[in-house]
Amino acid sequence: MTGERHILLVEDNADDELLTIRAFRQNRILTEVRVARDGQEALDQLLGGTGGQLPHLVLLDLKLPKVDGFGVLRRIRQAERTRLLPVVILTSSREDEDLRNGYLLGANSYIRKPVDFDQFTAAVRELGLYWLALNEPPPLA
Amino acid sequence: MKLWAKIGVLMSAILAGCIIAVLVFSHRSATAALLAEQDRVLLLTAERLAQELKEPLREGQRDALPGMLRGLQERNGGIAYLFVKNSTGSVAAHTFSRSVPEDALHAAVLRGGGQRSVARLPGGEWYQAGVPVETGAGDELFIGEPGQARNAALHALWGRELAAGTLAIAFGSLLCFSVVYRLTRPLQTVVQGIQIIGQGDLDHRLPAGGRDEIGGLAREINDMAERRKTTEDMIMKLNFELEENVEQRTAQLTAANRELEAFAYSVSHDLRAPLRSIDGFSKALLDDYLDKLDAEGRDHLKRIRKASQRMGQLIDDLLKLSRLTRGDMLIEQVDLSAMAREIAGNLQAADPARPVRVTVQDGVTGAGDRKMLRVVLENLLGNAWKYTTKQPQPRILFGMAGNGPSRAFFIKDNGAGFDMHYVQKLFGVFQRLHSDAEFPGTGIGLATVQRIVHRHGGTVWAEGEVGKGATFYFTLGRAA
Ligand SMILES: Nc1ncnc2c1ncn2[C@@H]1O[C@H](COP(=O)(O)OP(=O)(O)O)[C@@H](O)[C@H]1O
Ligand SMILES: [Mg+2]
Repeated sequence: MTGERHILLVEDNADDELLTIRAFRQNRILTEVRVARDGQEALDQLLGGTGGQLPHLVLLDLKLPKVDGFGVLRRIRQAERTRLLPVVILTSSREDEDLRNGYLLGANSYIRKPVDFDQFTAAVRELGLYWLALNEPPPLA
Repeated sequence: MKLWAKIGVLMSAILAGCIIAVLVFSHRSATAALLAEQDRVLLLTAERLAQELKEPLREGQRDALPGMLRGLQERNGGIAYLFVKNSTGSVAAHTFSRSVPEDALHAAVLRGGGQRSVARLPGGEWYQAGVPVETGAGDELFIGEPGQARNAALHALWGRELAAGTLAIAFGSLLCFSVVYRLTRPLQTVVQGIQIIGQGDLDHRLPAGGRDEIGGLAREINDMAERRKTTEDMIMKLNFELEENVEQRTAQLTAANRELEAFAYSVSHDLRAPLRSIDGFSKALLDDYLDKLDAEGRDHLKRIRKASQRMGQLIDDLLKLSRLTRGDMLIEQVDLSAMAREIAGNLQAADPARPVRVTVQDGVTGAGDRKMLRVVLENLLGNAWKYTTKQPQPRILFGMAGNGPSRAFFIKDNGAGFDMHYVQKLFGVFQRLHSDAEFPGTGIGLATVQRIVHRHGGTVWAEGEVGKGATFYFTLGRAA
């Protein structure tokens, strides 16, 4: 059942998108990765229409066109359907303000993308291992 | 004493003086007039009596003269005595029991012969009038009156004068006081007005209708109050403008600060993203196309990766620096000895192979922001750790040097040291005295240390010698 569920990567930078997916593949995490290129698209996928399968995990960038990461997170936590969805903020910033806001709005984790790709790959490996294998997800709504 | 009372007293005194002077003067003439009148009455009496004696004497009834005199004395109550002198100067008759007293006789001389006269006998007990008796024989009549009667009249005069004087002085004083009071009232109003204005009520105005000096004074004071009001209004306006200016500047400053924060934010987001791409895709090339690259190509890619990673580090350090100079400070007493030991422990743990002997003096404390002081010690101890790498027996010492106001914390090592010639450059951003190949680093650590120390009101300085080691000192200013 877990196999059918996917990862939602909310990322506007095409390079980062490619590198993130590459890091997953290199770590042999084969879960399907769906991409939303701005905040609105992410919200549409999660909350729009009748609502298909919810993702296993949301990887959320903060700086996004249209609706930014905080806006997306707020809406996720407000909606009954997605309230318990694990959300990991994956961003360049490590400003205290962003960290505080992220956790205040109910992020489950906050990871800063390192410049060094080796470190980034390591981070994605830990992340996948923890959230997709080790962690028990909340029951489906 | 009020001014009006002073002037009143003065004027009353002058008035009293005047009245007394006038009284004294008028008393003299009144006394003289009284005496002259009494003399005249006495003379008239004497003449009337002489008239009565004239006929009998002319008819030669000289022997009856004493009896006639006694009769006259009895009929005229006010007359004390009478006597007649004949032409030879001897007394022809008298009413005395024995003889005419010496004094009376002595005074009984009619000047120029036949002229009437009044004499005051010595002692003032008697006044004596003499008149000729028109007998043709040169007889003269003298009558005496007691001085007591005259003194009584004089006393009565005295009493009247004293009463009039007292009354005049009392009335005059009252008048003086009321006039002075009336005249100085405007002055009092002016004084009260000045007090009101002086107490800050600049809108108060004095009644300034009078044409005299007081009116002029009131107008002058009103003008002054007006000018002061204008000045104060101006000061208030200037103050207001100043405050507005300050507010405006503050707003500008806040805006500038916000811009700076936005800049730092975009640096952390936007500048790091391309670096990730550069490093990430270089790695992808190295992973996926390794067989298509020769050794040089691989080396180039490795250099690209190293450079982008270094730039990432530079950006991070720069951001850290800006964060440290922006954030609020929480001053508390910090156990620097414990903090230094903990940091040294971390350094050792990250680099277990290094045989560094770290000595930390006990009980070193300082007042400051704990997080910031940690950054200071991390940088200084980290440098000491790094720049002793090539020293076979590395030693690091943390403690407190000097005492009193020149007390300073220090971190001493026996590492590579530096050339004192460039000591000024040490604390500049990106300023390094060693090459990256020799000792890796970004050159931001000491700039950060300096900012933090300055924010605490302290100073930081360094001593060093190439190949022998370096010592970094810092104080925490008033806070410590
Ligand atoms: N303990 C030390 N011994 C010798 N030189 C030092 C020491 N600490 C700092 N320096 C010199 O000061 C420069 C600036 O230091 P710093 O700002 O910490 O940058 P970094 O350590 O990244 O090079 C260093 O490059 C080095 O040349
Ligand atoms: Mg350093």
